[in-house]
Amino acid sequence: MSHAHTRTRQRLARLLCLTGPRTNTPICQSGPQPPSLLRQFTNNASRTLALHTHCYTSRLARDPRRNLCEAGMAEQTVAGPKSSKGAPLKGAKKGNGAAKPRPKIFRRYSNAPPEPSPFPSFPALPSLESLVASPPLSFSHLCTLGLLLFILHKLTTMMSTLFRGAAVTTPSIIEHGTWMKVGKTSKSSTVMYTPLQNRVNEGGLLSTPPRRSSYSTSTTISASPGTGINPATAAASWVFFSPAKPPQPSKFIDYTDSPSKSVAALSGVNGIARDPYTSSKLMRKNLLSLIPLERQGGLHEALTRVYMTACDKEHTIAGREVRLRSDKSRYEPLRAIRAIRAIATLTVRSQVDDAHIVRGV
Amino acid sequence: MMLTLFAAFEDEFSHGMPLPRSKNTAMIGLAQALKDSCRETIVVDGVEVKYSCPASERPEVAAKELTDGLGGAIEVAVGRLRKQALTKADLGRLTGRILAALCRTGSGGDTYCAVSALFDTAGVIGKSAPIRIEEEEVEEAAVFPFLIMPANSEGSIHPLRVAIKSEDGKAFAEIVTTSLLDVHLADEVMQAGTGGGKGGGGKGGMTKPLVRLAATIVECVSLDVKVSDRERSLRLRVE
Repeated sequence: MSHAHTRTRQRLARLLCLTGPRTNTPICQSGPQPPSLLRQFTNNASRTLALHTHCYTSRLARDPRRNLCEAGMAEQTVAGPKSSKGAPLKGAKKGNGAAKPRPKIFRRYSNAPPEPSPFPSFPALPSLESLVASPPLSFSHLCTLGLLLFILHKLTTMMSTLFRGAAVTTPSIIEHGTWMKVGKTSKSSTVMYTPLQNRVNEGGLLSTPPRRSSYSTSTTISASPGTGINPATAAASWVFFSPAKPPQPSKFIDYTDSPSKSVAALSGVNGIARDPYTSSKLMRKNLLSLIPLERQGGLHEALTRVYMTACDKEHTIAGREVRLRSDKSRYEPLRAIRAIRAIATLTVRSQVDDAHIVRGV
Repeated sequence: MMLTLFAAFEDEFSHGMPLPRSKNTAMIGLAQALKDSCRETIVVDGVEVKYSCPASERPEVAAKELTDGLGGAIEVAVGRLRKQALTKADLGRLTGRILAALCRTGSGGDTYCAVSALFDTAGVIGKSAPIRIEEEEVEEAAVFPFLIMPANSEGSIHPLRVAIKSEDGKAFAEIVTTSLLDVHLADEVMQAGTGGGKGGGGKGGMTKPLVRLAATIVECVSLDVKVSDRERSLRLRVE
C-alpha cells in the first residue's frame, strides 16, 4: 500500500469519525484495509453529505426568507456529492493522485471543525405507519380546541356588543325640559332651542330672550343649544335634544305650591298619585271629573265621536272633506305631526305669539 | 261637528274643569316669571301696569316696576279688606305667587296639554269602537287627527288680568290668563305642506283652523300667606 493511499485512508477515516459513521465497523483501526471497505467509507460520506443537503434544502423550502448566500451554499452543497462521488473512487482505483480533484465540501468537512448550525435542529419526521397508527389530534384535543373556540367566540361577541353600545347612542325623545320657538321665513321656519334648566332651574337667568330677529334660516341640525333647526328636517329625522341632567327644583320655589297635593286629589288611584301630564287619558279623566256623571258620559262620547270622525276616511268634519287613508301610509306623516306637536308644546310654553304652522313640514 | 260639540256642552266647558299644575309649572322660577310677565299686558284691578321704558330694552327695570305695581295693588286690596297690613316678607311672597300664576310659560303649556288630551288623544276609545288604541300602544298605532297649535294672529294675545276679591270672608287674588289655540286637521296641514290640500293654503303657509278655542285658566291665590292651596280651572269657549 502506497503512502498516498494510506494518507487518503486516514483522511477518510478522520472524516467519518467527525461526521458520525453509520456502521459499527471499526474504521479507525490501523492496518491495511481492503478497497471495498474504502468504497464503503466513501459511500457513507456521500450519504452523510446528501442527508445534510436534504435537510438544508428542506429548511430553505420552509423558510424562504433565507438569504441568497445560504441558498447558493445549498446549491453548492447539492453539487458537492456529484463531484465527490466519482473523484475519490477514481483516485482509489488508480492508486495515486487521489487528492487532486478534492471537492470543496469534502475539504471543508475534513479540514475545518464543524461549525454550529445556524438553524435549529429538526425533529425526526414520523413515519407513515406511526401517523396512521396515532392520529395527530385525539378526541380530547378536539374537545379542548372546540371549547377554546367557543370561549373566543363569546368573548368576541361581548366585546363587539360593548363597543357597539358605546358608539351608538339613541337620541332621546324630547321632554318638557327643552324649549323651542318657531320662526318663519318665506321658505322655511326655524325653531330656537334653549335648555329648560338654563331658563328655569337656574333661576330663569337667561340673559336675552330669543327674538324673531335672531331666528336662523339654516337647514342644518346642530346638537348645540341655541342653534336654528328647520322643523321640516327635524320632523323628518326626529332629532331632538334632552337636557343634560334632569330638572332640579328652583331656588325660588318657596312661593310656589307643590302640585302633588292637587294632583293626588284629582288623579289618585288607590292612594297612588299619578301625574296627569304624563298620560292624556288621565288628563281627560281629570278634566271631566267635576262634570255630573250623566253629562260626563255624553261629553266623553261626543269627544270620542269627534276623534273617530276625524280618523275615519271619507267623512266630513266642519264642512270639509277629511281624506285620511286607512292603510299604513296614513302613519307616514305621524312623525312629522309629532314633531309639530312637540314644537307647539314648547312654543306655547314660551310665547304664544311666536307659533307658526308652516308649509313644507 | 266641533262647533256642535261646543254648543252642546257649553256649560261644561265654560264652568271650569280642574287643571292641576304640572311639574314644569311648579318649577318656574321668579326670574322666568318676571321675564315672561314683562312681555305681557297686565291689568291689576282694571288698571294696566305701565312701564317707564319698554320691557324688551330694560327688562330689569320693567321687572322691578311690575313687582312694585303688583305689590302696591295687593297692599291696597289687603288694606281695604283687613285692618292689619301685610309684612314686607308676606307681601313679597304673595307677589311671587301671583307672578308665578301670571307666567304664560306655565299656564300656556298646561292649557295646551289639556286641550290636546281632550281632542287629540287616542287613549279613550270605547270598547265598541272599530279602532281600539290604548294609550300605552300609542307609539306606532296612534293617529293624531287633530293638530293643535297656538294662534298666531293679531289680537290673539289677551291681557293677563289680576283681580283682588273677597268672597265668604276669604280674600284671594284671581289671575286670569287666556290663550288662543287653533285646532287643525293634521292631514290638512300635511297636505298643505305638500301643496295638495283643498282646505288649506292660508296666507304665509298658515292653514285655516277648524275652530279657534279660547282657553282660559283661572287661578285663585289666597291672600292668606299661610294657605298654600290654590285652585286652578280651565274654561274653553269657541272664539
